[in-house]
This record gives sequence, C-alpha cells and structure tokens, in this order.
Amino acid sequence: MALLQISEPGQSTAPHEHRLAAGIDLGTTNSLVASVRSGVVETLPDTEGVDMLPSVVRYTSGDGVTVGVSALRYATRDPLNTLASVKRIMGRSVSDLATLKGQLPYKFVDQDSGVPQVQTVAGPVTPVEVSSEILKVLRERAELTLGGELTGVVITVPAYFDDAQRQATKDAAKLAGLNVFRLINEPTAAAVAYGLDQQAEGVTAVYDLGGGTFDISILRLTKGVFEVLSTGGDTALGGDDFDREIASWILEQAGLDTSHDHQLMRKVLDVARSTKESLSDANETEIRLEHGDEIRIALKLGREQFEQMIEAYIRKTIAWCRKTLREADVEPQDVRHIIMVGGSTRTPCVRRQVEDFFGQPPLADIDPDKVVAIGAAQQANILAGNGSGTEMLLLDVLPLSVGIETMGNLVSRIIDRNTVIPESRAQEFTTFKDGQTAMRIHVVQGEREKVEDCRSLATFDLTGITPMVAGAAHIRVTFQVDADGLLSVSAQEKSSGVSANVAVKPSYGLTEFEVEKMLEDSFAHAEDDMLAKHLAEQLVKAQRVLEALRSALEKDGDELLSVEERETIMQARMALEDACDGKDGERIKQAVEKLEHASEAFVERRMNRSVQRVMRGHRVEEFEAD
Amino acid sequence: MNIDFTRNYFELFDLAEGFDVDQEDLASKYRAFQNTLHPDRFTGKSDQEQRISVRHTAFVNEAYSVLKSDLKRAHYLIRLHDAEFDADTEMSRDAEFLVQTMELHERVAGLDQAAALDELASELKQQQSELISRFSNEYAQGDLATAKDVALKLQFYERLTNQLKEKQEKLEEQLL
Repeated sequence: MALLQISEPGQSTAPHEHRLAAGIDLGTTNSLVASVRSGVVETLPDTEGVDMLPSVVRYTSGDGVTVGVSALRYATRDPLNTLASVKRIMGRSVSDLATLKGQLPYKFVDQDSGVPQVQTVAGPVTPVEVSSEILKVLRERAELTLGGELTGVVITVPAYFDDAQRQATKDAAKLAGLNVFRLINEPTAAAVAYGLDQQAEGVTAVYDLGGGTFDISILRLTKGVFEVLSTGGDTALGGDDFDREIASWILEQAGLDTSHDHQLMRKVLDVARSTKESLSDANETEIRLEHGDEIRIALKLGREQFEQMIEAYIRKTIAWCRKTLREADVEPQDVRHIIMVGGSTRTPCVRRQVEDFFGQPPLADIDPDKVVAIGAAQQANILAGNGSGTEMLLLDVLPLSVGIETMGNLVSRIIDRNTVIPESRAQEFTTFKDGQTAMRIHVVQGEREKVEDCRSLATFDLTGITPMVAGAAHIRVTFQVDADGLLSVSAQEKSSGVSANVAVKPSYGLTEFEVEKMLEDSFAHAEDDMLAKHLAEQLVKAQRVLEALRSALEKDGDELLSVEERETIMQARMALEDACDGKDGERIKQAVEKLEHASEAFVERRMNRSVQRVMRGHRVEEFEAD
Repeated sequence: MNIDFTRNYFELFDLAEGFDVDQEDLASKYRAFQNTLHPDRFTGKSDQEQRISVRHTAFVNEAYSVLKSDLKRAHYLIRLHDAEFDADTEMSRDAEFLVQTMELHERVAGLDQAAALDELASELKQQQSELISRFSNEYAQGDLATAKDVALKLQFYERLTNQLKEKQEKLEEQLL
C-alpha cells in the first residue's frame, strides 16, 4: 500500500541514512544485544567474541560495578554482592519476595513496603538499578560495534509480565540512557525472527523455556500481521529449577545443609548446571565437588533419573500449552509451527514432550538462545525507520486483565486479558453513600475475582464530587493501555466535570522523580551542567516541533484550518520562537506544550485525512478485486 | 471516514448498522486502519503525534473487538437503542428459559468427566449458534424487545460456557 506513506521532510532524516537501532533480550540468566547491519541481523559479541552476557552484576566497595562473566567469576566467592536472576524480582513488591527469598542467595534490606532493595557492600540497590547496569554494558557494546549512538532499542519481556514488571524494565532502560522504541513479548520476537525469514502463515506456538521463566504464546500470522491469540506461562519456572532439583539431590546424597553457607550453595548450583548441560548429550555424567577441607563429593547421575527429577516441571509446561491453546480456541493439530526458545529447550526430553503434544517436531533452526534478540533487532530496525515503512505490523495483546476494586473487595474487570493493544475502555461507576464527595479508585491486575488475589497497581482519589444521593453520581473511569502494555487511568464525574488522571505507577514502583534522581546521580553533574543539558534538550525538541508544524502548515494549513484557528497556532508558534531565543529550558518546555495544545485539532485532522486516503485506496483495491 | 469518537462503531468502519457483518471486509478495513494509525508507524514523530496515535488506535481496537464478536456486537446494537442496557445485571424474563438455565447449571455442577464436559460444551455451542441466528432475524425485523431478550440469553450461555471451560481446565490440571 504505497498510499500509506506520508513523509514529513522536516522530521525524518535523509532517506538513505541508516539509523542505529538494536534489539535487547534482557534475560534472567543471560542477556544479548543484536542489530541489523547491511541487511543482516546478528547478535553482537563483546571484545572477546562472546555473544551472551551473563545477567550477573557484582558490586564492590567504592562504587565499583562489574557485569557479566567477570562478575560471574565471583558468584561463589562473593555471593552477597554478586546479583544474578534479578529479573525474577523486577517489579515485585517486598511482600512478593516472601515466597522467593529462600531461593535467592542474597540479602534484602529489611523493610515493610515499597521497592525491595538488595544490601550490597556498595549500599542498597534496587532491581531496576541492577538491570540498568546490564543494559548499560549492552548499550556500550552496541555503540562501540556499530560506531555511533543508538537512536532506540526494542527490549523484550516475558509475555506474562504485568504492568509493574514492564514499567520496571522501561525504567531500567531509561536509567541506562536508552530510548525505548517498544517493549515486545519474547515469544513474539521469536516469531518475528522466523516469520520474516520464512514468511510463515497460520497458527504458530512459541514454547519458551528459559532460565527463569516459561511462556507459551499462540500467534496467528496473516497478511503481514502478527496477532497474539493468547499467552500463558509461569514467571517462576525454568532451567534454574532443573539446576535446583539436581542441587538438592546432590545435597541430599551428600547429607549437607547449605542454608547458612551461601558460597557452598552457589558452588553446588554451578555444578548442577554443568551436570544438566552434559546430560543433554550424555546418558550418564559424573559429579565432582570439593568445598573447604571437609567436603568431597563424587556422584553419578543418569539421564533417566534426571528426567524423572524434572518431569513435573515439563508436565506443568504442557498443561500451560493445553490451557493457552484452549483460550485461543485452537486444537494442537491446528498449530502449523512450534518455535523453540530458550536454552532449556536443548534438554532432549523437553523437545520430546513438546513434539508428542503437538504431534510434530518443533522448529529450532535459529539458535534458541539468540532467536529472541534477533527478532527484537529486526523490529528495532523497522521502528527506527530503516525499512520501507510498509512492513508487517506487530499487534500485541494485554497479558493480564486490568480492573478496579468495587464494593465487597471484588474486582470489576475493565479490559480483559488478550485484548489487542493499544486499547481504551471506559466504564461507569456510582457512589455508595448519600452525600459522598470522594471516591478511592484502586487499580488492580489479574484474573481472580477477589482484590487480594490480584496485583495492586495503584490507588488514587477522585475528590470534589457534588454531594448527591447514593447511586446518583456517574463516575466514568477510563483505562488506556499503550503499545507497550502500560496502563494509564483517568476518572471523571459527569455532572460536576471533576476529573483525575494518573499514569499508573505501581504502588511499590519507582516514581518518575526517583528515576530522574537516579539518572542525575549517575551522571554526578554539577547543577549548571544539568541546566545546560535541560536547555539543549528542550531546544532540540522545540526545533523538531517547529519544523513539523512548518511543513504541516505548508501542506494542509490552507485546507484544514480556519483563519481563527491558524491565528491561534501562529501566536503560540511566535511565543515558542521567542522562548527559544532565551536561555530558560523550562520556559521553552511550557511554550512547546502550549503550541502542541493549540495545534492538537490540526494534527488530528491531518491524521484523519491520511486514514481517509487509506480507506479510499482500500475501496479501489476492493473494486479491482471484483 | 474520520476517527470521530462520537460516532458509532459501524460508521467508523463504514458498515451498515446491523447484526450481519462481512467479517472479511471488517478485518481488511481494520488492517488498513492499523497500518496507518498504529504507534509503530509514529516512532520517529513528535510526542504529540504518538499520543494521538495511541488514542486513535485504542478506539479502533475497541470498535473492532466489538464488531468482531457476535455476542459483543449483539449487546452493542441493543445499547445503541437503549443506553441503559446492561447485560451483566439484567436477566431474560422468559420463564421457560429460566427453568432451562437452572437445569443446565445443575448439569454442569454434576459433571466430572472430561468426555461428558466436552459433550455438553458442543451442545451449548449448538444452542448458542441457534440463538445467534435468532438474534439476527429478530433484529433485522425490528423486534427490539425480543432481540434484547435473546441477547440476554446469549450472555447466559457465554457465562456458562466459561464456567465449563474453567471446570475442564481444573480437571486437566488434576490429571497431571
């Protein structure tokens, strides 16, 4: 559809300029960065030639931070300052951690609520900060390899991530100085990698068994549109569990207790992992472990016995497959392709059981460890504007229902899970008592009926409601989910027009202010530098807005604007031009906002006009088809 | 064809207001909308355009989800004539049907074999599709009161089918 292209000469850079973009798979165990270079998509290695960056961060005294293999080396020697699998606690609250604490070999700061913090020798750190350290390393690696600054990235998240976990991921990226084009689901990225290469149509199942998470997604590919029919999975199931099964078997055989010895626990887990890996090829493997002067272990483990240990986990994944297929209204035999993602799918009995369930062998042409990063890089390349602009569009869905609390601790769902996003939906509620003037709106996410079984996302108050008898007020609550799956909520009382808006920041998430503060601290700039940086940023933004407006007015100003409307816009434009001559970043920012407000209707009309053109083209197509 | 938030979903997709919708035509118009409006087409543009894109795409998505589903489309049509219509709180007034619903509830409660549940599920599906063609007829003939009653019956079937699904899933999980 060539008609779709409406270029904005002032905004887009020269047509042949390649804009640097990357896809990042921020994994529980390992992370990767990939990019499209000269039409070829590949993962980017470090200076040693290694692609995979272990998602491990080590803090040392004096603000030292090491990431990856060099941090992993200290995992056994310095377990409390060497943080692994931090993705498991991204966007989790302190109370969520109660169930995970025993499994994570590091120390949490004692606190009752808020964002959990891990105690390290360099002070307390949040999961968002730890993740941002991993992202910083990947960013540097990409910029060094590609030879310039990244315009933006696509970061993948498990399909099952809720609002808080997605927001935390985005915050980590912001903290690492990355511009996030889009968060996309890991299985969707895997399908992009295969879909683009093979132009596959039909229903695809993506079975993703990574280190710490399991996801199953059912996708339908038609006419260049990826549609996620349903997603399911478990945020606490993966290859790490296999390691733990082997580890506890070893400890049991040796009669050891590691609850007070973090170093030993880490060591046993390392041995367990390599045992698992060798059992992918061998039928039996030897286990040797030495610790201190007293502990000497030598054991043998057979593949069959290992498969019995992990049987329950694999059965659970197959149960998820069945459930998710049912939600998509698809029978196992209707699935045309099964894509294997994640290192744990290398375990032979995982592949065997997946094949048995679907009745056909899964696809594994692309390295299951890299396939997600590769798909993300392809999508990043398109979003950066390096494609033709007519590529397939990725349509994604909301992973978990969102709703609000109503009387009796019940949840009233407003947007159901698996709804295509972006989406907005409104629902009306009313007051419970006579003369009620305020209403507390509690936003929750989850599938259960009771509030306490769902995740609490945010609470805000709508005040100033005109006193009326119970049930007379009409409060309209609007939920809007953006393309990243992030929610914002607004509420309005109809008769009085009182309204409240809130970008949903999870009750225990970081506030905008906190993220900004961390960002500033990390640069450790003097105040003057910060002001200068702010001014420079606002100037760039203002220039972009002015240029966009100039070109829009030139093209459509005469047709789409009345004399009065044009006059209003021109005044706001003049105010912005004046502000740009000054040195006050804040004044420029406000002038930009005013100009955007003044030209809102104009921009909407232009967008509508492009829709009209497409729909006209659409009719012509239909006519031709007849 | 403007994105006018005050117009109804049929107008948005340039379709005749009625129950019978050419799903292929709808899907292809939907894709055309998405191709133009989706936020992925605006990553390099101003914040303002990105915001508007999200708002418009959200509206189109909501409209499409309603028009695509027989149940939601039926409810939407009734609501266009009767803004107070609420399928969640209202019940069909058909006494005979109410007796049937109780019987069906008892049957669902009494079943604990996967095969029997599957059988009932396909029976319900059959009755649902009969109700859908009835709705289509009644609505086309302009009998709104009867159409509304049929829409409420459909809602009952939807809920019961969901209960059945949950039961099937629980059963499957137990078997593992």
